[in-house]
Amino acid sequence: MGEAANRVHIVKASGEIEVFNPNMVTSDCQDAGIDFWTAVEVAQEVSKRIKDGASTREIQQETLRVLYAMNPEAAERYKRYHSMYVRTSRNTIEAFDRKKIVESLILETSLPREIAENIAREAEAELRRLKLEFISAPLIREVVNVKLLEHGFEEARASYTRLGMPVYDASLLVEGASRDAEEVHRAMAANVLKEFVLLKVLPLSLADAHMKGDLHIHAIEAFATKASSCVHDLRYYLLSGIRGRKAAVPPPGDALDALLLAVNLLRYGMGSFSTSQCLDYVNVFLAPYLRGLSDAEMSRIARLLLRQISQLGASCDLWVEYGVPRFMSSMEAVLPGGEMDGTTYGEFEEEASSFALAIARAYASGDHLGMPFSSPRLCFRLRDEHWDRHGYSTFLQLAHQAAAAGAEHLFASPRGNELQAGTYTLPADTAVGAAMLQVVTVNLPRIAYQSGGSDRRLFELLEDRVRLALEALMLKKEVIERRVAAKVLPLLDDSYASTPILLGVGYVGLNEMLMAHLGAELHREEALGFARRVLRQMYSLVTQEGEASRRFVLVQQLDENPHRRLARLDHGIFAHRVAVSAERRGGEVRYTPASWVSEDAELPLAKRLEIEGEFHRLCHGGAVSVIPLREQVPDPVPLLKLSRRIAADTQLRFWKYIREVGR
Amino acid sequence: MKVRYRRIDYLSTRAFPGQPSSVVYLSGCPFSCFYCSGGGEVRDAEAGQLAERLIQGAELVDALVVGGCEPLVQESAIELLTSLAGRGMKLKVCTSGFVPELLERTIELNLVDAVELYLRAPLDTEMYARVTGRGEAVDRVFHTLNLLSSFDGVLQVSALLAPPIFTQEYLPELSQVLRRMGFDRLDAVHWWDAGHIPATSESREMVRTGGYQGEVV
Repeated sequence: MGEAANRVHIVKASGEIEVFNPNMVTSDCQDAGIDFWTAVEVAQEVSKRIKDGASTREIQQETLRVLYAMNPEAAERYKRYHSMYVRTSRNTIEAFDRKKIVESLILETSLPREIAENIAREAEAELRRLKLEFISAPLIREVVNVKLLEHGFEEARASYTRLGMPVYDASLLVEGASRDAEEVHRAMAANVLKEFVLLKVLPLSLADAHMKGDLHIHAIEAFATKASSCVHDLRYYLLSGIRGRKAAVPPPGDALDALLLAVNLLRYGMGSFSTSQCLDYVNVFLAPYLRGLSDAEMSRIARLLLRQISQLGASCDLWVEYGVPRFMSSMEAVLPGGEMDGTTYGEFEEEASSFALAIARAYASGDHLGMPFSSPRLCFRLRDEHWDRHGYSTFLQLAHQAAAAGAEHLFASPRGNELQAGTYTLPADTAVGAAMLQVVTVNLPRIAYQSGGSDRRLFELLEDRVRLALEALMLKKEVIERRVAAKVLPLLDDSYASTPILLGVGYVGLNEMLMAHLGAELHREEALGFARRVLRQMYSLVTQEGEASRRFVLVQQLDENPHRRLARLDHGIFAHRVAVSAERRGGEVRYTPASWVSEDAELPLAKRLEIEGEFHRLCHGGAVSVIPLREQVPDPVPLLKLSRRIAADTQLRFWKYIREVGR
Repeated sequence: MKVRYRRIDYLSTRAFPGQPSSVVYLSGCPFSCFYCSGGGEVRDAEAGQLAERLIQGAELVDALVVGGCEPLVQESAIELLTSLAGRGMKLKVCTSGFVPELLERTIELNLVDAVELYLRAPLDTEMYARVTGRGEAVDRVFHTLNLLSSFDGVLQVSALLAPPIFTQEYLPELSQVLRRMGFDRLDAVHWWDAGHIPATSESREMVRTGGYQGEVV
C-alpha cells in the first residue's frame, strides 16, 4: 500500500477536511503547558487510536484520555486550557487558539510577528482571566483592540476593528414596524459600508470633515462601491442590448421588448448607481418601436412602463418630451432589432407625441388601484417650439393636473442652446446621457461662523472647503475607475470611457451664511451682491478642475436633506449663532437648501425666482426651485399659465410645485 | 389714505378663476364668527404704495385679488382698487356683503373684473346671528346680492361652510333662493379652506383632529 492510503483525515470544526498531523497534538499539549517529551508521547499514542474522519473535538477527547492514563495532573492542565471555546464568525464553535489571533493580526494589520504574538498573549491572558466557557469572535477582537490601543497601535486598531452596529440599533431596525425585510437588510448593510468608508476608504481629514459637518458626502455608504446617479442614453442599449455578467438582453424587436429593456436597464443600474437613475427623451427613443400601434396599445405600453418602474423600488426620473425636439429630429434613430438605416427620429414625430400623451394620461389615472405613482417621477420640458403642435396644451394640462393633485412632477425650461440631460446641463454637442459619480456638499453657514465677520477669512475658508470637497471627488473618481477596471460596475464598465462624467460640489445654507456674516438674508440687495461673489468663487474653483469629458460642476443636491444634518451639527457647536440663522420648525433646525430664498421671506414670486434662477445658471449638475402651493385643491389651469410664464420670463432651469397646505 | 392689511400671498391658483393671481388680505371685519380669532398682525401702508408693491410683485401672475374677511369696511380699499385698476391686470374684490355702499361704488367706477361674495350663513337672521353674531347683516347681504345680480363681470357666490352650524344641508335651500334672484351658480368652501380666516386655537384644533368634517361642494 502506498503512503496516501495510510493517511488519516480529520474533520475540522469549520467542516474542512485535512490530513491528520501528530504535531498538531504535540503543539496543543505544549500550548496547555505540558512538557515537550510528554506531548510527543501523547501524540504518538493518539495517532494510533484515531480513525479516519475523526473530528478535532474527538481528537482532543482522545488526547485527554491518553493524558489521564499517563499523567493526571497534565490532563487537568490540558482540560482547563482547552475548555474555552469560541463562537467563530464562520458560525462554528472551536477551541480557543491564540495562534489564530497572531495570524489574523499579521494578515490584517501588517504588524511584525513578534508584536502580534505579544498582543495575542496579552489578549489571551485577559480573556482567560474572565473565566468564560464560551467567548465570541467579536469579544476577542474587542480585547485585542484594547491591547493594540494600550500599546499605541492606533492605525492597526482601525484596520483590525469590526464593522457593524449596536444590538440596540439592530433591534430597533428589525422590530420597527415601518420597514420591510428588504429595507432592514439594506439599512444594516448601509450601516456597515458607511463605517467601512469612514474608517478605511476616506483619509482622516475627509472622514472628519464629513462627521464634524464641514461637508456632507452624499450616499457615503456607497462611496466605495457605486456611482451616484445616471442619465441613461437609451439608444446605446436599444442598439446593442444589455450585456452584463448577470443580465443579457438582446436589442429589442418590438414595443414590449423595448419597454422591458428600459425597465431591466433601470433594475440592472441599481447595482451601479446609489441615488437615482433617469431615462431622458424616453418617448422619443421608444417611438420607432411604436409605429403602427393603436391608441389603446400605446396606452397599454405607457401603463406597463409606469407600473413596471414603480415596482423597482428605485428612485427614477422619466423625461417626456412632446414629440421630437428640434435638435434631435435629424439624429439617426435606432430601429427595432438594433437596426440603423439612416431613418431619423424626426420621422417618428407622431409616435413620440402620442406616446408622450399616453404616458401623461397613464400617470394621471394612477396605478391599478387608482393611487398616485410614487415612482417614477415624470419630468416635462417646456419648449417654445412645441406650442404650435396639436395636443401640446392637453399634454401639459395633464401634467399640471397631476402636479396640482400632489404629484412631484419636475418641469424644465432649457435656456439658449444648452443641452439638458435629466437635470444636468451639458455642452450642446455632447451625448444625451451622463453619470454623476459623487456629490459632496459644503456647509456654507459654518464658514461664516468660523470667519468671525472677516471677508478675507470667509473666502479663505470657502476655498479650503471647496478644495476638500474636490479632494473627496477625486478620490471617488479613482475608486470608480478601479471598479470599472475590475468590471464590477454593470452599465458603467463598458461605457465609462465614452460617457460624460460629472463630479458635483453642492452647497447648503447660502441664506444663513449671509445672515451670519452680514446680518441680511439673500433677498436683500446688500446680501445678494455678496452671495454672487460666494457662488462665483465656488463656480470658479470647481470648474477649473477636470476636463471636457470629466467635469466638476456645482449642484444643488437635496437627497438626504443635508440642510437638516448640517444645521443640527452646527446647532451643537455654534448654538448662539445658529439660533439666529437657522430656521426652527417643530423643534428642528434646518438651513435653507442651496441658494433658495427663505420660504418666510415676504417676496413676490417673480423676485424669488429671479434670485434663484440666477444661481441655476451656475449649477450644471442640477438645480431645482420649489414653488409651494398653499391651497387645498390648486387649480391646474392657472398653474399651467404660471409654468409658461416661468419658462418665458425667468432664468429658472428646473422647478416643481409642492402642496404646502396650512402655512 | 392708509390701508390696513394682514398679508400678501404672491401666488394663488384659486383666488381668481382660471388665472394665477396675487392676493392682499385687508384687515377689518364687521362679524365675530365663532371659529375666527379675528386676530393676527396688522400692517398699514399708503394705498398707492401698496398698489405699486402688488403690481411690481405680479410679474408672473395675471390677476390681483383684494380679499380679507371684509376689505370694503375700509374706505381706503376703494383707493387701493382705483390704483390697481387699469394696470393690465385682472382685478377682483371679495366681500362678505356687509358693505353694499362701497361695493356699489366699486362697480359704478368699473374698478373690478370680478367679485366674490362669501355667504357666512343661510340667508336667515337667526342663522347669521348664530354664525357671525350679526343677524341684521342679512338685509345688507340681500342688498349686495341685488347689486350683483346686474354685475356683468365674473361673479362668484360662495357659501362659507362652518360646521356644525352652517353645513351642506343648507345648500339646496340657499341655492333655490339664489336661483330665484337670478344667480345660476353657488360654490361652497369650508372656512378652513378659504385661506383668509384667522382661526381660533380651539377651531384649529377641531379641524386638525377631524372635529369638522365634510366634503367641499
